[in-house]
Amino acid sequence: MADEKIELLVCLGTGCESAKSDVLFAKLSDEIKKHKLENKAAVKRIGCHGLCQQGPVIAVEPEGLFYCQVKESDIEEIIQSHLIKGKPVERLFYEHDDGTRIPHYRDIPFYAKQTRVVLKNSGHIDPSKIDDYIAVGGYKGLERALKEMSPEEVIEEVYNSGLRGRGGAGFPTGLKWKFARSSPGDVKYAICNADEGDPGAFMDGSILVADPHSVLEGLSIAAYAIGAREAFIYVRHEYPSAVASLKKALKQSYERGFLGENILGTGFNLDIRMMEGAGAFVCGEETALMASIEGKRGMPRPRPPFPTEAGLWGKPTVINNVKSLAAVAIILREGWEWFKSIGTEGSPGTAIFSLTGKVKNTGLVEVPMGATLRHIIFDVGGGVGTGREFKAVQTGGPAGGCLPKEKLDLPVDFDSLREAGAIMGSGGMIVMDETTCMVDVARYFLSFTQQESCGKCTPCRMGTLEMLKILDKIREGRGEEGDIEKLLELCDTVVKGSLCGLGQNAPNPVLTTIKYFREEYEAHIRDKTCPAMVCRDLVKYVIDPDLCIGCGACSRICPTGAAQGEKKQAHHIEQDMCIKCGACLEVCPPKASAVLKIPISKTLADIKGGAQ
Amino acid sequence: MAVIKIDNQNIEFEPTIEKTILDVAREAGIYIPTLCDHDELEPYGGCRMCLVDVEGMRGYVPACTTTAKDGMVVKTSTDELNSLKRRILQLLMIEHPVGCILCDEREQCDKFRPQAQKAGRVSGCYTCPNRNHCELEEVVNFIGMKTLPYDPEYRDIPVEREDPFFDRDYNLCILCARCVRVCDDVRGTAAITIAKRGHESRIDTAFGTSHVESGCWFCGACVDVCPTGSLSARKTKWIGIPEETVETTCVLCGTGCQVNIGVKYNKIMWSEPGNKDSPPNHHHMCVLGRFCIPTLVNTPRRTKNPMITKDSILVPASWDEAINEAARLLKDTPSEKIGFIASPQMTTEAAYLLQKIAREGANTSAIDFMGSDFAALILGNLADGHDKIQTLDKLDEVDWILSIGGDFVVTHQVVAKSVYKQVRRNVPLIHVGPIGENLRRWASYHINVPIKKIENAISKLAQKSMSIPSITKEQAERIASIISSGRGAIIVGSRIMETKNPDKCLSALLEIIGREGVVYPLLPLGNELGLIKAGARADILPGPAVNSEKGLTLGELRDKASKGQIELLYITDGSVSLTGFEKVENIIYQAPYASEWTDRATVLLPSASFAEEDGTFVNHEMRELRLKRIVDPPYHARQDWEILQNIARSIGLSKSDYKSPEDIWNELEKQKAGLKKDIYKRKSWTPARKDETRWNPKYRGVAIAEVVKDLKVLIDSLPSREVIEKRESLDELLERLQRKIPSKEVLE
Amino acid sequence: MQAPPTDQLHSKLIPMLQEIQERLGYIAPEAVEWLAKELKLSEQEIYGVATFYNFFRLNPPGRHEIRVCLGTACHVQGNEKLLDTICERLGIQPGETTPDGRYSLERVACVGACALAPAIVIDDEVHGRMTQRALQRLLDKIDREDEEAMKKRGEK
Repeated sequence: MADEKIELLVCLGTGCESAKSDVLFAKLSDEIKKHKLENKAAVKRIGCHGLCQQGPVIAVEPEGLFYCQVKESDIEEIIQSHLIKGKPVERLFYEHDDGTRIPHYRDIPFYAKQTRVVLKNSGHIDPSKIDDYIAVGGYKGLERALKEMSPEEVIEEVYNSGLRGRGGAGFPTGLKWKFARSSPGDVKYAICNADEGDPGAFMDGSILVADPHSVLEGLSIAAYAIGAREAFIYVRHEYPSAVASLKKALKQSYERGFLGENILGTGFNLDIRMMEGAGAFVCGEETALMASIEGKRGMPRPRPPFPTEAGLWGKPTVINNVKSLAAVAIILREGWEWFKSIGTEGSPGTAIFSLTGKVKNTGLVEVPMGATLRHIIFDVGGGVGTGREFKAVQTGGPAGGCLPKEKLDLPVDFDSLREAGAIMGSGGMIVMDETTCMVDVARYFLSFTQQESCGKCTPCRMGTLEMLKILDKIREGRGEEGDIEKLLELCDTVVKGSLCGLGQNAPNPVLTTIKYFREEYEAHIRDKTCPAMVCRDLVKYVIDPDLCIGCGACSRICPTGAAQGEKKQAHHIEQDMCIKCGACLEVCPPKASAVLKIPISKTLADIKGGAQ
Repeated sequence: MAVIKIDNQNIEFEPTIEKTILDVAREAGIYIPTLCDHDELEPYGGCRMCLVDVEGMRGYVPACTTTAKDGMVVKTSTDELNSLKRRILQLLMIEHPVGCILCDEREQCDKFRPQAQKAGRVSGCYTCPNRNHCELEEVVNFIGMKTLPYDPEYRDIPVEREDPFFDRDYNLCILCARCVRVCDDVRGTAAITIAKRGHESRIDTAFGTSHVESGCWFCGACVDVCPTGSLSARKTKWIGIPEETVETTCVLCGTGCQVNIGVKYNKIMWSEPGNKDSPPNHHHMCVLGRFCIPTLVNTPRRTKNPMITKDSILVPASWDEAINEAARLLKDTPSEKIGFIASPQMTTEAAYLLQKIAREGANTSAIDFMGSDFAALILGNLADGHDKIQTLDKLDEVDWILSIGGDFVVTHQVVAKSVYKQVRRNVPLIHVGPIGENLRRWASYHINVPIKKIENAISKLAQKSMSIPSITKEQAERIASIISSGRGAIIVGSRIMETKNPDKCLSALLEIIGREGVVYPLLPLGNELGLIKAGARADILPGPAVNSEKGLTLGELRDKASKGQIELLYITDGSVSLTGFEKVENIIYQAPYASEWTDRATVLLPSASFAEEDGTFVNHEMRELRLKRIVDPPYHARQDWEILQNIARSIGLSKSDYKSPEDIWNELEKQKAGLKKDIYKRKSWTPARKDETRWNPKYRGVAIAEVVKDLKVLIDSLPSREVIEKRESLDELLERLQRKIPSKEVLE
Repeated sequence: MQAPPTDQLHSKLIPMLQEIQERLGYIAPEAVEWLAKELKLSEQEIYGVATFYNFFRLNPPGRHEIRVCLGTACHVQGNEKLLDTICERLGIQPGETTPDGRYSLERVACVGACALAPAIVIDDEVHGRMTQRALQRLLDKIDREDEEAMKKRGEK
């Protein structure tokens, strides 16, 4: 063991990168050179390790130690103490709820409670090195498919594994391939849908950064199976690091003969082209995505005909999500029986979520299908973490729904989530606590889909707008009796009338919040209050003159000059000028806590009177 | 045969991949409401009015895009489906003015219609251009939408009136995208697009420029497919509906489009595309036929009264006086001093009578018409195989298209539409010569040579040479391989007459297409082929047949006239330049329009325009098309054939008792036909001025753009649509643009 | 084997628009004209595509591009309030550029930094866990740097 080189794996996932982990990487490399430790230690870049909350993180292998929230100034100590003296820096280990430090990531509940299959390589291999991927068994699946199996056998294998499309709809992947293979025509296309547009979801992007070859391998297998000689990866333009990672991976794959002509000497030819999206959520819809590749406006067209019959340029086309393709590579490597043993009967395999919102451990999570929401949010995620009460969890992005406490024991798989009104979606999971207003959340998602509607069909173009108007009315305290019923009717029109999945699912957030949190809507409409104190027309900020110490922090930060007062004197907020940004509340010193957010209908005296 | 059950009715149909539930329902007479669907356009699936319930399919599916399959059970109306459609329609109507639909008074309103017709803005029922016929209203009535549970929202977009011919009021637009689809997919112009997206979607041009700038040809296809009043022809939007509509033939170019002429108050007010089933244009038109005809026939520049010269002054006369005077001149002038000029825009029958008067009455073959050279060249070269000339729908069977001799998108928009259909199905189009905006996009290969040099390029193509000007060797190879196999079509424009040897040029083209190929000659003026058939050219007799007697071509006539050797000229085409004919003593001018010839006329015979006369027109496909007298000629004007028949009688021609143009036609049909390749020998006419090679259509003495001001706007914009090939690289462009905006680094 | 040549050509449209925007900062009318010739499209077709996708802008951007992430995580963490503050401070709405051309402001869908919500991207650098105070400081810093740079130029 002592001879083995220490590897410092610096996470360069989006989360950690935004927290300047690239600086850490550069500094570590420099310092190791400076201290001539090259023989003893190496620095590697990795994609998302998973626990974004603690970023920037550095994993130390082979021991599996884990440094959290590393700052530039900590580097020197890591070098001196860990690398030179062999004594790991304990204060940078993960801090457990009880205050103890956990040195190994495998012992941290966030990791310990996960089952990493697709994410197995993420955070462990250097995505920029194809050899790292090959060393952990990469491209074995492709080799097996090309050398030992006919395309039909590959399809059979995937079909038997029970893999269902990870893009959200859960259609059996093997069946889709079978359709495409049996469609007449010499020219066929395979497409990887990496246009992960759901706000609050970053799994696909992370996989592309952390393990791009697994996706390329899966896509190559798909192309072989259906008989395509050309494939595309449609990546979101907003993910520059995923784009860069893929570019590099593609180049290496060509160089090593995993792409191009006569792959692995089997006579199979395949070209993969990468295409960047340009900021249209609807392009996640497969017919819109194909229009976009063709250089057109990304407007969906009705199905049937399905892409497997007439897709890109009218040719049979298979479109698979990033996670599905990554799973395909594993299925071909490990065999369908193994894959099928994970998860549930109806939804084999694992589910990957990006866990965000009001949760202690935000990050990338992989659990077997059928795990409960409670398991994900509390065991893996560590609970709400704000000290407040859990209120709801939103899955499936703008097309998904909000599930309340009562649904926490729901097993997570395609069918049970849909039954509850939410959807699996591509895997965004946002936790909400009592400071989240459900009307506001519903409006947020709806305004998102409304802005992303392509405008082709009437129900989506006009219906979402009309719904938004009602939600705005409610949020602004102008709601009337009957608004909820009107909303429900509009939901029905949009769900049943819309052309594509975007419109058909757009009302889900509204439907589920009305279903599970109707009383919150009623509070807004009848009492003109926002129980979560979020809707800005229903709250106001006031300064309690008894508590104000006159420090002036509020008046300095106030962007409109509404917070006013003389130095050392009690301040006040000029309500007419206030835009309710909440900056004053944020900066008011905790020892004073003089700024209060109260319902618009109340006065400070009401609140204080109530307290007495 | 497959069977589908729609609303409990079993319907048999022939299943194909294109045949949708909507198609089957329509064939069986079952009405399913639609808004975005149009029989010329590919299914769109946007309006959701055709949603149906298909057993075993998830949710509701649009009938317009769902292929009908054997055994399907379809319901077009259930309570839930009806309610859903009503609600969708209500959403659609939030932004569409609904006075015409929801106003309580709308029944009574018909009696008390206000006369405030010219309000610029459509706020409701009466000021909508579509108030007499509205597809949207039909759907609303069928679905039974009677209330609007939402606050209506008037978008308040200014009506766009800056462009020629039609107004655009997007406050009425329902975003069915028919206009964009017809412009993009059928006409290949793409002058409009859907811009932005979602609720902000709107029909627009790039950066909101005018239609003139965006490359619109004003063919009016968008206006014709619009289901609302958003797009409306400016001249007719406020005049209601025609009392009578008659389909006739447009003579303004050689295409011979079928046009529906609408009449109200005994005047021609509308010209709209002919019926969908009527070839050659199948409900499509160009700017001339679609928008110019009413103004053209109603212009005050029409000739009104017969006139004769008395004491050197042209004075009104009775028809008898005028006819007698004309007959006298014809009888009194020696044969060798008389010349005749026919018009390619007159009927075949009238032209036949004119040549009969010349040959049998005046004993001369000094007869010709402008544009006869090109027509004679075509017919002469194809004399031994008329099946080379085919109808436009035969283009569907060709494997490649070679076009030469002008930009047919400018001159023959309906032919262009047929070609574009082939471009859409990836038939390679090779164009030789200068190119315009649309052809630039359509052509797979463009041999960019000036018109004078197309002859050389063509002969190289025929020789399968690999060194062809303006293209690479690889391209030349690919072209050679394309044109050496399959069935080819050649679109040949009249500008090949500008080459040194048009005869040779055409022969080379015929060599390229071989035995199987077809030729589409684009006759620029109108009834040229009809006039050839009528024998209205010196070297051709009716039939057409070869005339061995010597006659005079237009050019020879002009030469002779300029020497003072012509005493009498009988001219029916005011478009022919007067230059050279100044010394002619007596001129009989028979035309519907006043021109420079009017003042020189000794006898003026006002004739009917094509919408006021009966007769036959032979188009570029050799199709015989009917002209119909829709209204009486204005003032005292008469149809050409009537005038000519009267003259024939007066000069004592035998067999001149025709009851109708049909009698004349029957006589013409009895003539023996037989042309030889070499009939095109003598060039009869060259453009007097260089700028006449530009497209500036005329009709019997009047440049249409002089009468129709909106057309002038379009014509003036044409030079800017010609494509100049030399251009900068992307790097150069971006560098130039970067200099224009403050750089990010300026501050650093 | 492959799609027909014109289809292939048209599929280059979005990548080329991206290239132009990356190099020029926006899609200028001249660039649309150029592309139309290059790709055998009409300017309308290109304009329709450019206005469909959020990424493309048709006006020159400001020198500093502020993009406020309005992904779900950021929304739940209150990014809309930060957006209000920026609007107030710069006097512009999302999609606009300040009259002096210094700042342009955009709202963007998720930038993928959900774990760091709320996030604001300024000149391609992601700033996570933003607070009102941190935001004001960040903008102050940019103002200060610009001012200094201006002065320096003025002295020269």
